[in-house]
Amino acid sequence: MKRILGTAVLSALLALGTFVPQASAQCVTGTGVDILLKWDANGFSFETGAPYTNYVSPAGNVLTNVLGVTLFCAPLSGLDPNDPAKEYTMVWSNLVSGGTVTTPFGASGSKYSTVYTGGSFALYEGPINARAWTSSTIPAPAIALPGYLDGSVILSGVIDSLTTTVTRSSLGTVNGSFRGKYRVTGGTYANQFCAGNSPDALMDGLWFPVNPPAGYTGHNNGKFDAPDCTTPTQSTTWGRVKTMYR
Amino acid sequence: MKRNAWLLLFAVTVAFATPAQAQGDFLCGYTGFDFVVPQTPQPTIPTPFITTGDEYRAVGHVTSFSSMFTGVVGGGEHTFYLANASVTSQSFVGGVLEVTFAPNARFRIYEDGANNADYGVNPANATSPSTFVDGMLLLGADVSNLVLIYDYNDNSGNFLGNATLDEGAALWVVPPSRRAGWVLGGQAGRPNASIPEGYVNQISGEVQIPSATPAAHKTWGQIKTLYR
Repeated sequence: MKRILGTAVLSALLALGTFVPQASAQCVTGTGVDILLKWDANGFSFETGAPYTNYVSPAGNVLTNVLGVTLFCAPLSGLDPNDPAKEYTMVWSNLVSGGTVTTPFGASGSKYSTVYTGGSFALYEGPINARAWTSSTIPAPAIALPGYLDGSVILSGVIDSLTTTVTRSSLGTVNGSFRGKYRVTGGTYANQFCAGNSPDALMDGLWFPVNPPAGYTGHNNGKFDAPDCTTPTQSTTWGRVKTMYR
Repeated sequence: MKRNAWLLLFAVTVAFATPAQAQGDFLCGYTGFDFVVPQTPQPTIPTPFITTGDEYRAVGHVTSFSSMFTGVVGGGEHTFYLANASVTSQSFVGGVLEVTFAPNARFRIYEDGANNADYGVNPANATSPSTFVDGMLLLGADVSNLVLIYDYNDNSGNFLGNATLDEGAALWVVPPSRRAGWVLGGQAGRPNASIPEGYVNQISGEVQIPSATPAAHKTWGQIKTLYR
C-alpha cells in the first residue's frame, strides 16, 4: 500500500510540476550591465497568418509571445514574482515576420533565421491566473492571452528588432535562440529607466520549437538586460567646447 | 478501505488535472556564463571561440526549480556547473560554428548557505568555478549527445544535450523510471555588455522533457504485477 501511495504521489508531483523561482538568483554580474528581468521556460509564442510549419514563418505573419516573469532585478527588484496576491506577465505584440531564411551549415545542419519588426511589449501587474502555466497546462492562445493581458501596465515599450534562429544540427537535434533590442517608452515604472529616456537594451534567450503546446510555435526562456543609462563621454579640446557656445 | 477511497480520489484528481497531451516536464531553469579551457581567450576572444580538443564549461545560478522539489530544495544559493564537455569535432563555415562533444559531460546543481558565488574574470579563477561547486550536491546528470551551434551572422547560438539524472541529495524525488530522457538546453549569446571579461557567452537555459509523456500498451495483468 505504501508503495502504491508513494508511486501515486511522485507521479502527481511530476505531472503537475511547475515553476518555483529561487530568491537567490543573482542579478548582478559585476560588469555594470545587469539583468532587468527573467523568465524560465514559461514563455510561449504563437503566430497569426499563414501556417507556421517546419520552423518556417511566412512573411507577413504576426508573432505574439506571452510569459510569466520569474525574476526581477534593479530597478524593478522591489517587485516579487512570487507575490501571493498578484502576478507579473508580459506580452509581446505585433511583431511582423519578414519571412524565414533557411541556410545549410556544417555536415548536414540547417539554420532557420527569422527577423520580426514593428513590435511592442507590455508588462502587466494583475490577478493570478497565468503564472503557473507550463507547456503541459497552457490552454490554446485565444484562451490563454486574456490571462496575460489583465491588470495594469507597469512597463511598456517597443521591440526595435527581434531575430529568432532555429537550428537543426548535423546530429538531427533541434534547438533555437532569440536576440533583440527593446526600449522602454511607457508604464508606471518608466521614469525609473534613465529618467524616462531609455536607450535600446538587449533581450535574448532560448527559443525552443520542438513539440510546442497545441496552437503555439514553441516555448522560450530568456531575459531583458537593464538599459545602460550611463551618459556617453567623448574626448575633445577646449577649443571645440568653446565653439559649442559661440 | 477509507485509505483506498482517498487514494482513488487522489489519482482521479491528478488524472483530470493533467491534459491528455501532457508534455514538457520541467526540471529547472538557469542563467550564467560559459568559458573554454584551455583556450580561455585573453585579451580578445578568437573567432570561432572553441575548437577540437577544448573543454566547454559553464557556471551560474539556478533560477527556478520544478515544484516537485518543493520542500526538498532548501534556502540559500543554488548554483550549477557544466564541465567535462570535450570537443570532438568542429565545423565553421559561412559564419556558423557547429561543435560536437564527447559523451559523459557532467551537469551538477549545488545548494549552499554561503551565497558566495562570484564569477570573477578570466575563468578558471580563484572564485570560479570553486564558489559555484561548494555546498551540497543537490542533483547531477550525465550529459551526452551535446551539440553547440553559434551563428556569428545573427550573434546568437544554442546548445543541447541529453541528460540522465544519476546523483545528488534530491535524486530520490525523481523516480528511477523518469531519470533519463531529460534535455539540457541553453542559449548562448554575445556580444553582450553583461559578460564578465574572459567568459564567452551569457547563457540562459533549462532542463526539461520536451516530448509527449511516453505511453505503452499493457494488459491488466501486467499493470497488477507492478503493484505486487
